[in-house]
Amino acid sequence: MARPEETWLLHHRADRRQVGIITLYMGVLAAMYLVPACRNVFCLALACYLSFLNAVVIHNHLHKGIFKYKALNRAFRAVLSFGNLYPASANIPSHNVVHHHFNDDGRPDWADPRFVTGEGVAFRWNLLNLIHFPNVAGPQTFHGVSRWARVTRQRDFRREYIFEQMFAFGLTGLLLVVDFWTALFFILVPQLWGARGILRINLIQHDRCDTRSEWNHSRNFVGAFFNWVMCNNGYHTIHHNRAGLHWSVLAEMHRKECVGRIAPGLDEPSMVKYLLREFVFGFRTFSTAEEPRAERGELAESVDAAE
Amino acid sequence: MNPLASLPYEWLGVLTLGVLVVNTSLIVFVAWKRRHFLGEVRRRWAKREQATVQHGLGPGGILAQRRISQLGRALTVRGPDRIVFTDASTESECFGGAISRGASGALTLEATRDVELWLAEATPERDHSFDDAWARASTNKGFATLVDIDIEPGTQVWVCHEQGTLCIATFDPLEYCDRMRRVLALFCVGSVLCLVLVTALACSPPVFGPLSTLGAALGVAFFLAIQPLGVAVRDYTLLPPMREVGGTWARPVKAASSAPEHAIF
Repeated sequence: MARPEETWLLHHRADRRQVGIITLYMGVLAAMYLVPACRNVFCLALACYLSFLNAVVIHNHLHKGIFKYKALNRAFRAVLSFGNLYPASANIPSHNVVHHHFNDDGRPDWADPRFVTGEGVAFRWNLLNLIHFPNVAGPQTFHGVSRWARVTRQRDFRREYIFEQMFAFGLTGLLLVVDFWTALFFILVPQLWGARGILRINLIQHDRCDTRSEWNHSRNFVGAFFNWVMCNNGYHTIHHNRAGLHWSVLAEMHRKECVGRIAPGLDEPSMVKYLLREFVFGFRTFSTAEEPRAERGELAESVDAAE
Repeated sequence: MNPLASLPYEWLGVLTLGVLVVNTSLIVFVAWKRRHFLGEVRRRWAKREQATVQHGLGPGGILAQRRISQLGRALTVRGPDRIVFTDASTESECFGGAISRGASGALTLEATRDVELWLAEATPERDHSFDDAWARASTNKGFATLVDIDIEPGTQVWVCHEQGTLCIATFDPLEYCDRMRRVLALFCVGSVLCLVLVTALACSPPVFGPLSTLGAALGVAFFLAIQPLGVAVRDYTLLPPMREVGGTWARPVKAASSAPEHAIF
C-alpha cells in the first residue's frame, strides 16, 4: 500500500524539489554551453550555486535513493556525478560510512577539519584555511575511497564507481574537445565550484565541535529560507544522529530533539554572518607548540578484547 | 555592469588563472611552512648523542617499544588472498636501560612513556594463522591486531631530550630531516616552475589560440594534480612517529606439491 508521501515515481513527493534543482542545473549548463547569449554573470553565478546544490542532492540521494526504480537511481547518480565531476558513489564510504562515525577504522575522518586547522599546519587568517581545505580533504577522500573500494563486500560498488567516473569525466572531456574554452569557463568552473564547496561545508559544520559528543558534534544553520533552498541540510546534528530520516522532516526533528540539548552556540541563525565572522574576519591564534606528538593515546579496547 | 551581458572570455581567463595561482600558492606555502618546521626539528636533534643499546629493562631486554593497534581488512579484488592493514592507534614506551656512548661512557635512560621514537621502517611480523586472520578480516569488524616494533640491545641509536620528552632514533635524524627538507624544497620550486610555465603558455599570443589552449589544458591538469601531489609530499615527509606502518599480508604460498588455498580469481 502506497504511503501518502509517495508518488508513482518518487519515494517522497518532496524530492520533486531535488529533481527540479538538478533539471534546472543541467539546463543552465546546457544553455551556457550552447547559447552564447547565456554566457553571462547571472547564468554563471546561478550555475555555481546550483552546482553546490547538486552536491547537496548527491548527499541526500546517496543516503536514500530518490526514485522507486533502481535503473533510474543509477542514471540519476551518473547525472549528479557529471554535475560535480566526481563519482557520486564516493559518498557511500566517505560520508555514509566514515564521516557519520567520524572514524575510519580508528583513524580520523578523511575530511577532519584538523587536517588544515590543527596547530602547526593552519593559516592564521581563517579564510585561507577554508579555501585550502579541499586541497587536503579532496585527495584524502579519494585515496580513502579507493582503499575502501578494494575491501568492500558491496560487489556493485566498484562497477558503479567506475561507471560514474567514466560518465562524468567522459562527458566533460567530450565537451572540452568540442569547445574547450566554453567548456572550461561554463562547465568545469561550476562543476568544481560545487565539488570543492561541499568539501568546505565539512569545515563549516564541524570546525571546533566535539565529534565525540552525542549532541555537540556539529554546527547547525537554522534560517528558514536557507534550509528551504538547501533541502534542510542546515540541520546537521539531527542528520548525524538519525541518518535515516528524510530531509523534509529534519527541521521539525531538530526542534523536537536537538533544541535544548545542543550548545546554543551551535545553532547559527545565518550562514552568511557566520562565514563573515569566522572566516573573512576570523583569525586563529595558536600556541608555539609544534606538531602533535606521535602518541595517540590508549590502545583500542577492541584490540585487547580480540587478543 | 549588466549581469546579462556576455562575459568576455579574457576576463574569465584572468579569473581562472587567478584561481590557479592562489590555490597553488596556498599549497606551496603550506609545504614551505612544513619545511621550516622540519628545520626546527633538526635544530632540536642537533644536540643528539650517538650510542649503542647495551641492555634494556623491557621484555626480552628491549630498551623501547612502539606498539601499534592495527585493523586488517581482506581485499575483495581479483588476485591472491591479501589482508591490508591500517593503523588505528599507536603508543610508545621506553622501559629504561643503558646505552653506550663509546669513549664518553654509558648513559642510563629512565623508564618513561613520554618518549618519541624514530624507528626505521620495518615489515611487521604476523604471529597469527593466516586462515584465522583472513576469516576475521573478511567480516565487518575486521581483524584487530597489535604490532610491536622494538629497540633491541646492540641497536645503534641517537638520543636527545626535548622539553622533558626523551627522543630516540634508530637512524640519523639529521640526515632524515635534511632529506625531507630537500623533498619539500623540490616540490615547492617545481610547483612554482610548473605554474609559471603553464601561465606563460596559456597567455601566449594569440590568446585562445592553439598554444594558449594547450597551456589552459595543462593548467587544468596541473590544478587537479597538484592537490594529491601536495598531500603525498606531506605524507612522505611526516615525522617518523606519525608515519603509518600499515602493511599488506599475502597468503603464504604452500610447497609446490600442494594447491594454494582460497585463491580468488
